[in-house]
Amino acid sequence: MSEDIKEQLSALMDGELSRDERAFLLRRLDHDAELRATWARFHLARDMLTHRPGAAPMVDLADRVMAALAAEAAAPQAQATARASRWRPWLGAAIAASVALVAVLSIAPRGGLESPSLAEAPAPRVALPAGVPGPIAPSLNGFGNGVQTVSAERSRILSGPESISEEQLMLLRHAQVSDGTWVVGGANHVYTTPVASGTENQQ
Amino acid sequence: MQDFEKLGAFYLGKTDQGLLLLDSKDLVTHAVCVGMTGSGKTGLCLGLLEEAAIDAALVERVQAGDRMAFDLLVRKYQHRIIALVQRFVPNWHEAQDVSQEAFIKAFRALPNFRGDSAFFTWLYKIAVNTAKNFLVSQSRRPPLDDVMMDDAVQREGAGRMHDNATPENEFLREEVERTVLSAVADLPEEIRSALTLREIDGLSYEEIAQIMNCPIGTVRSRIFRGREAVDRKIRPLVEG
Repeated sequence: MSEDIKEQLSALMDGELSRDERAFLLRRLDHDAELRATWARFHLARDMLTHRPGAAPMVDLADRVMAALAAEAAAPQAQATARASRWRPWLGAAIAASVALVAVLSIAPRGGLESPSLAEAPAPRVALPAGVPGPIAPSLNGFGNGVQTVSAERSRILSGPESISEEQLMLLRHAQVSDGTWVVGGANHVYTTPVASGTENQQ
Repeated sequence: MQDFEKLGAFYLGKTDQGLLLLDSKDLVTHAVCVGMTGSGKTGLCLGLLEEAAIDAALVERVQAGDRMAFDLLVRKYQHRIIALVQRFVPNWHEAQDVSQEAFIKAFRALPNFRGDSAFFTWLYKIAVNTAKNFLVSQSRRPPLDDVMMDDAVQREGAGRMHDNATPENEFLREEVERTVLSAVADLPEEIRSALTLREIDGLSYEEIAQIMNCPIGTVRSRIFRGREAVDRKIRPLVEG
């Protein structure tokens, strides 16, 4: 730390710097811990010299206060991240379902004009086991009857066996979702896994 | 801050428009200054104005999102605030916690600080309220009479709680105070004069330059050299 900078610091505490000098020095103080410590000691000496009640020279509240403020600022972000993490699998499943539905809709007219609806699509069907752990793409049954929430779908899935066609399952297996996960798995396991880091930006 | 600069220019005779430049808030400040300086000595007032001006600049920066500017305010006032809090909360460790909480409350409230009072006055009130709330939360009765601002700032030794301060703290405080006074006494005469005219009498650099018949740059250099000499002595003490 140069003498010139410390002389500026001394003038700063006396309010004797020009506006530009003050702005420059305050920017310097932002990232110069030693200079900030000097600022604290200069004021401690002033307090002692003017007989202000300087109770505790050894106290360094600044570090404690700034650490507490930093923790306070980080806490809401952590909570938000936790909230996002809690919902991310569901979001992934919901998007996977949406992508799958779009794919099925675009394929269905070609594959089965005779079928009035996917719900009436012919066998083969694969039973989806009860109690599938974690988020899962919602059943396609009744997709034409309006929007259904993921949680409702999950309740239905968890409440008992569901059937799904091979074609639908294949689509689910290969549907890439937009939040960076791939839906993979077979008849017995459908789950999401993070996409490799190298492909994260390919969406 | 412009108000302070304007008023400072008026006191230094840098404007011949005098009070015509000042608005009602300046007039109140002027009245306070006249009352404080009494004998026509304006130095103390200017010193306070300059101190308030740098505080205002730091507050502006905090309000603009610069947290490190708040760090400087904490470092500047931590000793005075903890001394004030100790008058309500004598226990050293509790006083530290309460002081920390007061600073955190001040930081949270700073976006709404409009500068109607000096920053330290505002901070002082927050610290007093935080200390009182702490006592209430501990089912302890706050003192009936408030600690007056002048007492807290001016009275020698007002914040010392000998019964509750740890012996180490009290010993260190006394040692630092002795060291500061001794270091100032040992300074060369021209440096000691510049430093004490500034710190004790509160004169501005320009006023000191007039008294010492030297350029303002020399005053600035002498005051710094004085502070630096004192700092070299107390640094080993406070850094342990």
